[in-house]
Amino acid sequence: MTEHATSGKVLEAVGLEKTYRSGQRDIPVLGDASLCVGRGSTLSISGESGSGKSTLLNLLSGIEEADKGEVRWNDCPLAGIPESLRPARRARFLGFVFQSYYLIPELDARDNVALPGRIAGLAPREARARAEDLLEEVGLRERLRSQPDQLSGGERQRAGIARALMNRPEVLLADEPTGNLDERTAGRVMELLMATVLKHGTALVLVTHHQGFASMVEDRFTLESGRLVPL
Amino acid sequence: MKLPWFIYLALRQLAPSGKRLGSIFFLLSVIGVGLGVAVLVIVQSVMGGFGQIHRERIVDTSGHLDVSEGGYPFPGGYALAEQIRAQPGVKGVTPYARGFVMARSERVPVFPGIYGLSYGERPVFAVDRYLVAGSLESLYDDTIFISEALSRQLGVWVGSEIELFSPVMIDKIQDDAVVLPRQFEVAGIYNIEWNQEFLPGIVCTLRTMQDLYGLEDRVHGVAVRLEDAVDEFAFAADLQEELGGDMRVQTWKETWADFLWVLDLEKTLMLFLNLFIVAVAVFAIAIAQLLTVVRKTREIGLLAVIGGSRSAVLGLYCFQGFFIGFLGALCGIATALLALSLRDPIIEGLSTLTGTHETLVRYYYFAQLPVEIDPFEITGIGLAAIGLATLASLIPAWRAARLRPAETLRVEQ
Repeated sequence: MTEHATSGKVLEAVGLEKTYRSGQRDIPVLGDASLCVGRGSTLSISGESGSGKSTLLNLLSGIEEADKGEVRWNDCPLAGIPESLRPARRARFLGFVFQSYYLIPELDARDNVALPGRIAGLAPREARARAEDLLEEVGLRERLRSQPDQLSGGERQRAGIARALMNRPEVLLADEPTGNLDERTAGRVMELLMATVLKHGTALVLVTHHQGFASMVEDRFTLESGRLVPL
Repeated sequence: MKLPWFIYLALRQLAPSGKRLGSIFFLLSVIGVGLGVAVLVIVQSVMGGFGQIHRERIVDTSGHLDVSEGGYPFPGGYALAEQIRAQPGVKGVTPYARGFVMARSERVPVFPGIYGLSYGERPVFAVDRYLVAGSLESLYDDTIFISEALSRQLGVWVGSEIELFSPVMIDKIQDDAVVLPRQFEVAGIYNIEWNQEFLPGIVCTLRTMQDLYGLEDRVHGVAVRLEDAVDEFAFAADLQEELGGDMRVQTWKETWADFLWVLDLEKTLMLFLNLFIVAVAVFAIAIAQLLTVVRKTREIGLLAVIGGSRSAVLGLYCFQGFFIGFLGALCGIATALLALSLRDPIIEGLSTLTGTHETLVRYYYFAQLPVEIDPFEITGIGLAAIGLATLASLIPAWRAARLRPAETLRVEQ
């Protein structure tokens, strides 16, 4: 476990355990995984396929329950937040960047980015204005009204990053954000991602296989036998 | 107005940017509901039209009230008529006598019903409305009106002479008396189209009928027509109390209760049968929405991850069903009203094309297809379609709301 001493804890996981069941067989994925993310810090998690990286992000975000252990958002235990209130809290606390972008095909780039804002309760006009600012920030000012299928892979991921920052979250979880991109585009997206989180003071938890990208963050971990090991 | 995000997304999924006509699932679902609603509205309006025509014909020929002694002849019919006529709210009063006769022309015997009526200034029976030949002024004690059907049976027309035998005359023949038939000139031909039962085959003056039946000055009843605003049941109750004795005051709805019940039953059955068409459309919506949920599994997972609650996801897909139902109902009602307004040219064109125009006009009177457009009924059909479409979306919506985001995202990755 590491702590970001300079700016306090924003996200913390203590002794997380998770086992999946496949037929008669138990498949342990995480065992005593602990993590502490400081405000505005950046860290990466690497590991082999199936090592539990995505599962860890799911537990940190509260969309999946750990068998054992505790997740805290700003020192508040996730288990203490009622199930009904959790989506709204998550919308403000966390941003997500996915490997497969997950843009909604019926919405244009601006409305895709604005959607988390509308879910969080922003007025449509305010959400759209903020979405336009974010899209300008990620270099998509000219593609505001483009549908996802009219955007390249790199552009889609940039829109995904803008969407993740829509509610000015305290933590951004990025799960293989460059996994579907070629090397050159991936490099540009990573530079953009790093620059953007630094500008917004957002903590970043980056899951990646790419050693070069992993080295761009402050702290590096690998998942081995269900535990997070500092590199 | 700030639209809830899930309503906004539901609408955008149904009508995505860049696609002016919306998604194909959406279009087909709306068309399905629209067709079902259109069929229901058209059938119910036509059935209502038939019912309305029947009701109008009953009131036109029988009046709103019938005052009688259970069908037996009674004296003082004229005085009773004047007594009723003096009451406020009475539009017309007609003493009458009715029965059956044997009519003969060129030795062809027919046994039609006969209606003898006192045709005053404000008659209950608007026979002149249905005359296709002759005029009301030519109805005297030695002339009669006959129905168009009877004129065909007897092979007579206006100006022809026919012979009538009443039951009283036939009784006399049985007593070996020499009885000659009464001869009448046909002064008019009437046609009530839909149902000849409301006015039997022969209409004559009350005096003629009293003479044929040996009634002297007695009548079988007094028909009463009321102003439209008068409550017929209340009027009948008051009149019954006033007349007392053996007199029986009955509204037309009571007299024709069985027939009206059959009319209502037919309409209800048609509604019930046609509801299956809407049910098919509703099942189509349920299937289309289920497919959509399967197709959009990862997007539903995404919504949960970025803060969408289960109830919002449930609302999203329920609203889509509601909206499909709403648009389908609107389109269906508009289509039905258009088709109903163009019904005559449509029937005319189809029957002319198939060479059945004459048959339709003669037997079904389709050239004048009646419709009754009831706004409450149409609203009810529309609301039922919207409700069913929303219900049809409930299962897919429930399924979507129960999806576990972690699993949906893991499948994709």
